[in-house]
Amino acid sequence: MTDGDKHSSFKNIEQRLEKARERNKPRPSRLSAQDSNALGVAFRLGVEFVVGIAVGSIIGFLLDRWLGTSPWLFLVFFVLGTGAGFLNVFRAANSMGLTKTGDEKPPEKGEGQS
Amino acid sequence: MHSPLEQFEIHRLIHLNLGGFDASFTNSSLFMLIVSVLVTIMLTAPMRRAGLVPSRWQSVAEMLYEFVASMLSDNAGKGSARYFPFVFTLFMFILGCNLMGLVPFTFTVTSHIIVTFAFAAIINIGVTVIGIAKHGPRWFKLFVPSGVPIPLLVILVPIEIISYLTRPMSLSVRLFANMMAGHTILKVFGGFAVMLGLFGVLPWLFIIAFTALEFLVAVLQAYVFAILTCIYLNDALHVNH
Repeated sequence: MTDGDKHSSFKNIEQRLEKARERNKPRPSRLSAQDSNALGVAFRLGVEFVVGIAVGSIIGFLLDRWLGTSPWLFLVFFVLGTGAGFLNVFRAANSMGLTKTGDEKPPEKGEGQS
Repeated sequence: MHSPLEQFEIHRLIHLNLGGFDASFTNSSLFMLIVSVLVTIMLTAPMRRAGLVPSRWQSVAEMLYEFVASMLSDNAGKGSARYFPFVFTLFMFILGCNLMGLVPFTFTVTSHIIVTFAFAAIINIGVTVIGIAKHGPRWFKLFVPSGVPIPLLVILVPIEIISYLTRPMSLSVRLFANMMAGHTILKVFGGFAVMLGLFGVLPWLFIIAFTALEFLVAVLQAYVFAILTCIYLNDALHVNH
């Protein structure tokens, strides 16, 4: 390698770097991260809610079978499970920064009254 | 035409019966083994000839290690370093399983809810035991929201307990549903591509885009699983209520 070669390859390195950076800039794709993120949020909140009801119902059902009080404990735990589902959704939304209030107290109170 | 759900079937490779339990070595076990071996090789082999200037594989291993270490210290705080081996193993195994499933003709271990539920149940039982061992009876304050009149506690405490019990469910359902849904969609559109003949180019293009998204989902779900483990550990180590 001659001295002149070396010189020229270093001379425009700034421009070439700039070009390479331009090429590798993230481009907006059709399946953007924003969309898949919104889908993820929707999916997560749905799961949190349904799982609350499911777990409550299962507990009620098993307790009923054990104590022979069908269907009363099932009904009670179904309602409690729904409450737990709401609580889950609220906490999940809170942790994702989707609610404006950072306070957990008011919704818990509302749940207790319902 | 194959069913799009055929990929999730379990086949017994080596029949084994342990005291009435069917403990056969299945294709699921085979892929768990493959993933464990691959992850171990990937993490240990480059570190044998570790240099001050890392080779490619060495820097991959170091980046993964540091990524999980910072995730754990950011989310679980003080005293969480003891649990790093567990979280790192969990993250690498789930990441390995998710990515392994994207290789054609493989089996996706994490697309079975029993696998993900077993993980989530072990994590939650472990976290509960850690919490009780560390805080004793004070740990149960977790279920009692502060500043609430006593009559309301009759309703709120059961709700809090049920909410606590839903954690393994929501954790496992999220990983399982993401993996299963993605793989089913890929297979369904693969079927379309074959059936439509020349027009099959359109679903084929969709599959290419969707495979890229599946890579994102595979990594993201492993990350979500690990980060939630860290958050649960944080709840067990530091009781705030």
